[in-house]
Amino acid sequence: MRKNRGRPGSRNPYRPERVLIDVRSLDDSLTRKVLAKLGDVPRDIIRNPGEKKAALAEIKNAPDPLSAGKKILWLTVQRGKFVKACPCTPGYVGCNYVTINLNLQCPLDCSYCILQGYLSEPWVTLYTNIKDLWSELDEFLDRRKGRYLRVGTGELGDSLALDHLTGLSAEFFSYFRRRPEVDFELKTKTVNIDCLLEIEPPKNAVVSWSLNTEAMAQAEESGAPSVARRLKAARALAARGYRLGFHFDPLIRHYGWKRGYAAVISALFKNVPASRIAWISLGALRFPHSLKKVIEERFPKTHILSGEFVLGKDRKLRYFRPERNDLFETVAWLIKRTGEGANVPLYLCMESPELWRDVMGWTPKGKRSVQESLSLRR
Amino acid sequence: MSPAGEPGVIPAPLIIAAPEFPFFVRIYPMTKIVERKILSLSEIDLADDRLKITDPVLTDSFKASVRDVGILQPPAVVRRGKRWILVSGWKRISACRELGVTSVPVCVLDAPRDIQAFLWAVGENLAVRELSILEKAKVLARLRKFGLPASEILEKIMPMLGIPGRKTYLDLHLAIDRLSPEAKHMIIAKNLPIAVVQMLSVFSRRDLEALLPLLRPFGQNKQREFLEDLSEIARRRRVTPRQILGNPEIAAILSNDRWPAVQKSERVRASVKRMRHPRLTAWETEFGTALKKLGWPEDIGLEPSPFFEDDRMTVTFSFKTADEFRRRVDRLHNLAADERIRILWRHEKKPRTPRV
Repeated sequence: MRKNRGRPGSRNPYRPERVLIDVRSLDDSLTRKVLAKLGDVPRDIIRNPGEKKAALAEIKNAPDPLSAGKKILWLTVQRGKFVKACPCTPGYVGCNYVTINLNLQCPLDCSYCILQGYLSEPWVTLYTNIKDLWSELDEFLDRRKGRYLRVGTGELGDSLALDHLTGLSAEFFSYFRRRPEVDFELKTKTVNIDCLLEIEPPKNAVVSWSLNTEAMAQAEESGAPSVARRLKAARALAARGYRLGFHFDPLIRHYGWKRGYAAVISALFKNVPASRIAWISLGALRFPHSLKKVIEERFPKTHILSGEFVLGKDRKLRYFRPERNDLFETVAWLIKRTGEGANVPLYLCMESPELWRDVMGWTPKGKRSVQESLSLRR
Repeated sequence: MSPAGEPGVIPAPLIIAAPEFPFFVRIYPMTKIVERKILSLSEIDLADDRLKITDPVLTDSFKASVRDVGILQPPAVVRRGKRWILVSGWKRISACRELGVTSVPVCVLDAPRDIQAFLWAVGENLAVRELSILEKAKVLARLRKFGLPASEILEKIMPMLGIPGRKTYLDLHLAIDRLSPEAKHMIIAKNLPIAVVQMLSVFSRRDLEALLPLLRPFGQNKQREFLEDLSEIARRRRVTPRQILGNPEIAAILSNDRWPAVQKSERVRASVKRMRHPRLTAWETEFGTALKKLGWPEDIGLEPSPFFEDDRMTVTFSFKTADEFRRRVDRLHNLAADERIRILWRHEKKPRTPRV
């Protein structure tokens, strides 16, 4: 029996056990909104760095700080940049993506999640100074006026996991309606789509799901809804008129993977008309060496580490090239063979030009050429 | 022999100082020195090592210091029934015994519970040096045995030992304490870092019995690599490392009496590497075969990119004269003109339909 209580995708979406509020966030309207939605959840105001350090130390002393951190929501202000060009990874082909980092960490608990080793603070962080975000976005996009861009949240946290508390999807859509040259993407594994169903979908909005085989979702994506439920949510949004994206990332070699991915892809095209799919991405499992220990400690029964991994050009562990080739080639073929699937824009995430050539039949000249290939279907 | 020329009597201590350990005083305020006295060595039960943290290595210079200067810091003892048992000062007492000293100055502690006395010993050691991994492991294991709650160990003891106060680290140290004496000996002898010790700690005693002789000839990096390879294969095949080492190829290496230990270890390491990376090994073999087919000259190096991650290759050669340079370049020119050169890029393949 999987523990889904209080997690998005279960009957009760994410509800933290405690909220910590940075004193600088107190007056933000988003703070008030979230606190009102959380009702009687215990809350404490953090007034200075010493108090924050003590609260963090309490979590870090827990047997599993990452699990303990997921139960705490930290409302604070972003003092750095919200908007960043996705750094991709050294030595591989990027896609010119732009990320908005509004929340950090994720209430879900996927064994392969890069955030386990990437972020220093284990709690779920939400930045509340969104007025600053809108002005920063204005400045960022004005400097690139007229250029097609793909912008999205969900790099450092799930885009929709907190949406029932924040309602930010609606605010993002209002903003991006005024930026038709940009495709704005929300990426999720949850089925937290109630807010989205109430909004008239903007033409340039894309709601994306991360997909895997049902076996992997069940074994490795703790707290996330089943793939079938994700596809059901996708079908509801497609019917509402949304454009959708799907990310087969990370593709994982495991017992029965070919049959497993064939089943998901078949279910995907049964639920969602290919014409509504803006793009599908493929990315193979990869992780820094330091994350391996974290995964082994936190998920001792996982089988995701048993592939033939080698050190990539970005110093991350990746499947040896022919194994990746096999994965990509198979999944790409499964997508393309399904009638309309052949017309869906497909791209590889953080892969080498050689893999692009062998799998996709062409080699991008650079990250802009990937982006251009994805803009053709707008 | 004492400098005063009286056999069996230790020189008068220059200083008798009770160490102060504010942390322990906070936990166990009742632990204190109640008396300083001279005890005959025969009155101390040295066979009772329940409070011993380490097995000290007695050096000649230390013995000379005790002989010439005396014991500056008297060992601490506690009363248990009719016996005295040693809390700290094992090395000093060993030196005295070897020097033929029969009486020593001691501090008597008021520590009715073993845990109090043990913490005193920990504090006294920490005041003068950092504990080794094995000593830290022993301290934590003993404290658990003495009944100190895990929460107190995590919160108070581990940070003081320089270990993050997390359960995973506590479990790791308890596992290290359970290692066999042979494994512990190698940790000390090879000064193994915590990362390698951690890898060793997950193997069973029986696995370690098979592994340790193979590991011994290696340096730290090769040990780490070897252990990682074994763990990966064990995980993938769902077998124990001992079962891997029992496979026919490795068993044949191990039973070959002509090879010295170093050579056996290296061969086993290579074999394990092949098992962990079967496809990479196949590519490397095929690359070597392609070089042979092409008649690639031995004095010109050709390296594929690391792990064949991209198609780039690197040619290296050296030369001393213009003639030599021309000869090498001519050979490369001939190789470049050979149509078969494409076999080096074995992965340049025709599109195929995957089988699902």
